[in-house]
Amino acid sequence: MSSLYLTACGGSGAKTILSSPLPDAPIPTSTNIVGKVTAGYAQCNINAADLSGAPIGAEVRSNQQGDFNLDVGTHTGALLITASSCTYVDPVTNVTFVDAMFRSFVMAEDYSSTETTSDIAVQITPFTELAVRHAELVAGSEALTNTSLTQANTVFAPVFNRMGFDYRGTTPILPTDTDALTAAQDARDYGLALAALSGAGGVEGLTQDISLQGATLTEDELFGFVFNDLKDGAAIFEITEQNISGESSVELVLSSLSGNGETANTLAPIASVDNFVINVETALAPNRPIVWETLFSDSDSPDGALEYVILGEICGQSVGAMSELVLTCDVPGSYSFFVAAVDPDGNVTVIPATANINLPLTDTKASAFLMSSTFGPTLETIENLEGQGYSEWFKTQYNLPVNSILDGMGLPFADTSTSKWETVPRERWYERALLGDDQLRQRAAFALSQIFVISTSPRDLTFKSHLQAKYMDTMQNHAFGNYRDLMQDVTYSPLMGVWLTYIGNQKADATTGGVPDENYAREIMQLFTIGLVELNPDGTPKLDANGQEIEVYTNNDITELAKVFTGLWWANTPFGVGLGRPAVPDIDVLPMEMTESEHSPFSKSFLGQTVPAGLPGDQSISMALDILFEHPNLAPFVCKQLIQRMTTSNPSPAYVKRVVEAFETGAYTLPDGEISGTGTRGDLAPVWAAILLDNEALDLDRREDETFGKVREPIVRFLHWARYANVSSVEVTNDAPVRNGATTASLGQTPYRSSSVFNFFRPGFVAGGTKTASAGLVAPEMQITHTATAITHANFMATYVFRSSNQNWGGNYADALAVSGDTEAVIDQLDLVLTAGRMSDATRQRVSEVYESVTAPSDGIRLATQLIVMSPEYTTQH
Amino acid sequence: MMFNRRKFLRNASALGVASGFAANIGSFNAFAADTSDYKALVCVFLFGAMDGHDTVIPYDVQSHSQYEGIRGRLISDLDNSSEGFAPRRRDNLLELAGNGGNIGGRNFAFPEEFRPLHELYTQGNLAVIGNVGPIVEPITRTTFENGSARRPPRLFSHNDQQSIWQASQPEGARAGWGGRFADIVEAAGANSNSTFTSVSAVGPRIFLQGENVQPFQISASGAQSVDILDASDHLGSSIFPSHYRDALRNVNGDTSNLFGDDFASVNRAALDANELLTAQFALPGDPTTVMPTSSLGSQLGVIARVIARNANLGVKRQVFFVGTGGFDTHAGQPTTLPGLQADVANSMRAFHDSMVELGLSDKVTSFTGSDFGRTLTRSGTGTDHGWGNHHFVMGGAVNGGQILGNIPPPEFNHDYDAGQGRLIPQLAVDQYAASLGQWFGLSNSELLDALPGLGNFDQTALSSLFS
Repeated sequence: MSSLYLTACGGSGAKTILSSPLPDAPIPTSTNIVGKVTAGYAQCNINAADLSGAPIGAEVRSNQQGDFNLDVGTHTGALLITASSCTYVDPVTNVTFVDAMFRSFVMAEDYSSTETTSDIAVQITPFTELAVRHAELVAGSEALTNTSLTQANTVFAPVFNRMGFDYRGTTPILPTDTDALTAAQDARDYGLALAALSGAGGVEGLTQDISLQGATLTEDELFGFVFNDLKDGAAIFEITEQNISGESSVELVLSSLSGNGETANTLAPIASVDNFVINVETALAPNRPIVWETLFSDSDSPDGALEYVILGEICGQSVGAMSELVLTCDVPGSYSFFVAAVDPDGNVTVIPATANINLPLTDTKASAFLMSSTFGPTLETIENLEGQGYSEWFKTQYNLPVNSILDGMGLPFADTSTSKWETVPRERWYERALLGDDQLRQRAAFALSQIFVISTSPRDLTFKSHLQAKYMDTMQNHAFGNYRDLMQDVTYSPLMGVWLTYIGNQKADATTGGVPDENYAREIMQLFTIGLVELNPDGTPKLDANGQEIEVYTNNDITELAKVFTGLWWANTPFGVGLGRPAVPDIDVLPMEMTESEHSPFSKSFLGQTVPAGLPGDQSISMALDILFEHPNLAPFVCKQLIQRMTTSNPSPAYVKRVVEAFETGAYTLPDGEISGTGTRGDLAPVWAAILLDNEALDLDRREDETFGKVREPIVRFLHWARYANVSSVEVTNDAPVRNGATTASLGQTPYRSSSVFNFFRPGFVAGGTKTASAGLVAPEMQITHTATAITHANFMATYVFRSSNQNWGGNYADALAVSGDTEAVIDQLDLVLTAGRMSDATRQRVSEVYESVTAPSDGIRLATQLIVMSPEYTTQH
Repeated sequence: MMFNRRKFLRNASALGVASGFAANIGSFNAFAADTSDYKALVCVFLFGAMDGHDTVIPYDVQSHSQYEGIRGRLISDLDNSSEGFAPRRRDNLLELAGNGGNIGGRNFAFPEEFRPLHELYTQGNLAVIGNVGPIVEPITRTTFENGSARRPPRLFSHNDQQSIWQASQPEGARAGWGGRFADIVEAAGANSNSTFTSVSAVGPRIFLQGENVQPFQISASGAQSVDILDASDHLGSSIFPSHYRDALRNVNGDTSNLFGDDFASVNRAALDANELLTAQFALPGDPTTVMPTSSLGSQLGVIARVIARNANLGVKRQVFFVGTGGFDTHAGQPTTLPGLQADVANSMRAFHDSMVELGLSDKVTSFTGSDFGRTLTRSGTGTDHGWGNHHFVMGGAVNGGQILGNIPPPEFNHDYDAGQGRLIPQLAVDQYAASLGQWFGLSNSELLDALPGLGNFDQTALSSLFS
């Protein structure tokens, strides 16, 4: 049993397309192409050829019913099947033609593990001919390739598989036929489908001239009933409004604006049809179905009756011919389909169309999204997001320039003075996180900084301000770049070199017995790239035959990789040993440099691969990083943690897998159909969109799932309050709590200052004895949310919430004061912006009472805010 | 799972199936922990892995010479230490007398920085336990290399080995053996108030997590209080303090989310425990022994204050966890490790002295733990991740002045070398824990329950650690 490859499947038969070959299948001793030429055709000469045109097997002739059986022996790979010298009876005119030619292609490589003979079913129809032509267009002047066939398959196969009728037994009817509207539905559908598919070809360049390229039939003879109309009368619909995100009820308006300039002959210009509308309406409860209601009216036609067909897949559901289509859709996405329409005058139009479906952006939904994607929503950012829709929001964020922290340091590089300089980059960081418009970059860079963990806390480094600022910039610069580039810059960062002790790391010394430091080799594998155990693409661990996790490497791999990271030292400085910084200007902001004489000259074998002996140091490092980057663990290992930082502590494997796919392909289709990303593996820009726009994260029904969500990081909780309160002064150096955290008022988290390379918390942390633990969930942030930090966190927040607007880090609460006369409005605003509509009745009552317990709104809003920021609704996100 | 197993063990012993258990006398309590008097266990965890090779230092002439040869500049850099650290030359070391040469005829010494603990060793209040680490079953170089002996997962990884050391499982474990000890004494009715049965001064660590008992995370600064709560009003609002308290406790709040529930639970527990502690700490009773101001000294100081109130807090059995880091000395070991060792020695010694002052020194036993040991090989100016390590048990109840277990010679390719002098443990953490648990009052079946791997080892290996 072989599966079909781009063969139409009408009525019955296998629906599989492009299933993968089984890995260990024996090559059959014989493969038969068992085919049928579609209805209306009879005997044809059937030939098979490979993509170079070389004949495979012997020619056979199909019988009166069009059936044939062609032996292609042991051939594997793509085959082009040609039916030529056919007898063709035009289904409309009943005129008989001879010498018609149609083609199809199949993949002869998909065998089960037990068969030694194999049949491949194939249909040869006008559809498959169109597909082959499309592939030829893709291939251009080159011979057909698997790539061009695959692309054709991508365009055409979904349509084939969604034909709701047996086209092999159906004769299509000319849509302009006077009997068309009363003909059998299948016949009408077939005719319209052909029109639609021709349109699909047209998308790729077959516009209105689908010549048969040497075939003996003319275009009119073959497809005349469709293409006459297409060529001569059809207008082209333009989609005038297609961004349907951000609204609860939207219209996708397809209006016919332009004809092809020749509206001659019998066909009235379809421009008269000016209200082709697909309505996407959303009812909010209980499952928020999206109802597609298609309306097609013709102002010239008193009864407005029109026939049309939509071909394609919308929201995972097949769509066929219909006079009215209603389907429920709660899966955001971009859906491509074709619309072929004929009005009562017989005018036919085929257009490609795209519908972009987002669950509607309500206020609370926008707020919840911004909790994950930024350092906290504000009224302004909620409004902006609703105006833009998700797609525009992402595109805007991607394009905002990097606001360099290093450039903002305002200190001379050579300044070696007091330790307070360490707090200056932190202050710059807070400025950007709090006030920057580039919120996605800020949040993304912060997430990355919790994988590539650095800290200046335990090392006494002069100049650490610029080391740190440079490192913060590295995270910012690559937040929408490629993970491989990030690995490169981190590896050469002198701050990382000092932190993980490989700056000045020397090759082995046989006389002293010294060996290379393993620190970086170990942590770059365990923490920065691949982790400890083999992972599936969905982030779950692979298990061996005994059900045990499989460790990726042994200590021997580490010892070998350690040899790679030898010879690096501060730039512009003779190689030294130890961690002290040489007194050379500017070296903090330059990548480390390689000293070949200190680099291990031996081969380095790890993870089953070898960096050859004698390779120069920089090349050794580059090759080693490539090996780590190419490892299949990389994407699931990194992506799952990035999801945990932004949306939920326990993403489903399917969610992880979808994000991994964005990482692996370097692409993610935004709701408006535009593709984010460069298409290069490891591109991070599409990863953020994949994380934040995944239905698992966006669907507010998730709130009813008590296992979804996460505890928000203390820094995010703090900055979210500050953004809401409209804080504008963020001096850090002289403000003890925010500087490092004081004992009695502490966040328990300071950016870029984890106590170890294991970050503030571990992705696998289970908070013992809690409900999440009992439910088998991890809760990373709970590692720094416990009985010792609970009190200091409350005091920390109170310290800042109650400051007045003229104090450092004081808020002016302008948004609340604007509606201060109306308690309900104030509380509603707090609920929307601070808890995304999740405020409990108990909290609301308390907040309302304290707000009204004082006369000055500026006091009341602070009292109310303090209650909220310590509530579970605010401190968690779900 | 835990309880089923416990039940099984009880039944097994009742039927006389498992030899070596106490005879059945028809009552559960007969098997329960002995909790008649006050006892406390204090785990001092050395995060990052303290270099045991450079703490229990080879002292006989030949071994020390071998050691100097291998460690090279890690020794010589200390000869003229700018930090004021004592050299590691033989003359400057503090000999550990009394092991009777039973470790291959070799002798050992502490560095100068360990002088406060050396005095306790000499007094008989501190014992050295050689080459302890997480193992699944007895293992040697041969069975390690040919894979015939099972080994713990994720060797040499900090976070995982910390977890395995404390809870027998890598990161993500649900309970540690300190927590299981606490569960058992709690179930035996040792404590009338469970709030302070287990207390960590260094945040949540799996060691103290039990199936039932929730560890309290104490601040090294003492009892904590939420600002404003005790005020009569705030910004003129007289209802704010009580509303704030209700908000922190999430009174009547419905989160419909497990993370929200957990957060609210933490706040409630923090408020309750700290209010109790605040009241107790307001009463006299603190030991007067001056503690070092280091993090570890402060942590042990607050633990001493809690122990001093054991009667008022309603506890007869407590398990504590403190810790300090910085021991992952990949580089700069000669300039950092001695200072860290001095802190450990000074802090532990001051803690012991404060227990003496309270008259509780024989009721409180402290012991060290660490991620793993380190390589004997030098890498640059430091050492790398190892496996087995040497540890210290301190207290009046300890049969001190002796080295128990084994310490392999300072060379390579012996039977307990996993490569580069990473020691393959000869004593399981389970055995180490069992000797502590036995002193704590746990029965054999309870020990097997709390330490599932113990059955693979000789449980009497450290029987001479306590009288």
